[in-house]
Amino acid sequence: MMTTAGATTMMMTTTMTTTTDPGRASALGVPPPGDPTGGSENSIARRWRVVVAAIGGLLGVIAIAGLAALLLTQSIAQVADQALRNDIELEDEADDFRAAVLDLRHFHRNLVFTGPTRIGLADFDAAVERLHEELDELALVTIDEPGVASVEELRAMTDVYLAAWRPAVDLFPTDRPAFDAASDDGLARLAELQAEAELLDALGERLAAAALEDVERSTSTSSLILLAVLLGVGAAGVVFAVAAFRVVRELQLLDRSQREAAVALEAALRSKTDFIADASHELRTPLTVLRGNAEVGLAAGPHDCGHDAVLTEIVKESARMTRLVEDLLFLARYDAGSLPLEASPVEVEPWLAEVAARAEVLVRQRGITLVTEPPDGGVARFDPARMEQVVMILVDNAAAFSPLAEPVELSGRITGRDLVLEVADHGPGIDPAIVPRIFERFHRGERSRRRRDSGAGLGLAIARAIVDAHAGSIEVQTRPGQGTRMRVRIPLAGSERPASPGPATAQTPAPRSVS
Amino acid sequence: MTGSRSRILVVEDDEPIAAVLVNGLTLAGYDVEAVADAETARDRLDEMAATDGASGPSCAAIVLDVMLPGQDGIAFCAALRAGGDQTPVLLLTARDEPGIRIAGSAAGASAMLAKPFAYAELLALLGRLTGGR
Repeated sequence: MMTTAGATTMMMTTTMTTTTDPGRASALGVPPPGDPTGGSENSIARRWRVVVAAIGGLLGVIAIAGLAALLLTQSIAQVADQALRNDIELEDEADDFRAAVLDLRHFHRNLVFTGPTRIGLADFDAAVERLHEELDELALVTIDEPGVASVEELRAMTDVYLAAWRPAVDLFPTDRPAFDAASDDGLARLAELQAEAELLDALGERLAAAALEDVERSTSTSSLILLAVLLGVGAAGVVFAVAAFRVVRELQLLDRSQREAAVALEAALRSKTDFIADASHELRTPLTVLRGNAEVGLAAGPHDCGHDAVLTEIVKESARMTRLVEDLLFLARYDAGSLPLEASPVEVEPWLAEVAARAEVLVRQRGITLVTEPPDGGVARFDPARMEQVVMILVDNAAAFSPLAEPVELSGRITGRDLVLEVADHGPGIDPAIVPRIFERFHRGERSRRRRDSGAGLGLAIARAIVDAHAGSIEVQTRPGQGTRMRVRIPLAGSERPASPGPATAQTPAPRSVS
Repeated sequence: MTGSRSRILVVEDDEPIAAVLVNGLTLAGYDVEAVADAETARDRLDEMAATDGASGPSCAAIVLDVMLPGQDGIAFCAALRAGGDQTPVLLLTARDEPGIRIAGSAAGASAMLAKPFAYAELLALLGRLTGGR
């Protein structure tokens, strides 16, 4: 008579599991209080701020770098320009000075060969004049190089030469040997001056080449800085593009989640309206009976022989209506998330034995047998009264669908981290098309099974609400014509199995069959 | 309501409501019979028509619940009218919505009454429906 879990799996054709998900799959589908929509709105604003700050910072850095590059380039250009002008001037003037010295030497020699003729003297004096002019021009150029004579020194050397040689020219007709000696002396001085001029010329050439090189280097440095700034701008562009893309994506996601929330809200509203309509319908029926009986009783008068029956009916119907109102209140509390659960560590075996005893009474009224399989020993944390209610609802349901000869089976076991309770019947099974809807409120298997037999159709909705509140699931395995198996799974939730077999598991009695 | 008592057929699957209807209408002097679904109701109406005048009067009015197992009250009423049966029908509904009222009158119901109804109103309506016949 007992089916094992393996056999059950084989007979399974339709499986439907209802689980607790973050959005809590309540029949009303009301979105949970911690809707992610509000949170993502905040995070988007935060991201926006970060992105704007990052882009602003980057643009600021680029602006500063650009400004620095501009100033640097300008100052380098200025320095280079000045140096270039000075050095090239120096090269130019030094060259001219050297040429003037050579000229002077040339006219000095002519004077020696031809004697101090009028023309020779005029040429020599003109050369002296040019040398002085060149010295004046050279004085405008800064010369600051150790080992190279300054303009003043050159001028002094020239003056010494002229002071010794120019008066000696007049000695030519009178004292030839003195003239020759003064000439040789002067030529030696001129050679010294020439050597100095050549040094100066070489310095000018060297400085000019160095200045050109400097200018070239500073130009390439500034173009490097410009390139860096351009790269920075490019990077900022990329960052901005990525940020814009991400923000747009976030907005799209936000839009989608808002749409989904709107759809969910609409569905929740619709199902709430349906629920209220169903509830008012369910309340109208007992109210009809109450009012009808009361009015008929009044019309009949206190001495009518049917008076007791009318009053009895009113009492019975009041009790039914009370139960209905309690059930509705229970579900309303569940929807509000304020289902009071008194979870405590419960020893599974004695608890299930007690529940089975009560369930047995329930099904015996219908003439049906309850078979219970003793559960594994163990402790699970749950609300024993509420979970008993779940078992009662499932057993009552199973009994309602069971043929008289077939038993209803109740079993419990601990599998992994779950407490698993199973209720199975050998009734007609459930139409697979209906299975997803059996946990809906006011759903009844068939029209013929009206409330007098099976309640208002809230039992399974209540069972699911309780199991949901325990973070568990209910699985339905059914095969038309062969029965239905309801499997409730709730997490042990911190409960502990005794390491050694305690008194609960030590007995291991045989499967109990109760009729 | 004097002399031969008008016969009323109650079609209601909810037993306590059927019981209170039977009690109340019997108390008011009607000859009441209750069935729980449309199919049985049709059988009873056929039997009444067949034995009309012989074993008792035919049905004076039908008190018909909308929500019935199998064929519902509105479909049953429409089928009656389609079959030419003009017996007055008082439709009982637990959903007092315009949609149901429109469907009921479209199906040819003579009157409608929303649950929970007043006993006096039930009697007044039935009196009008059977008296006008």
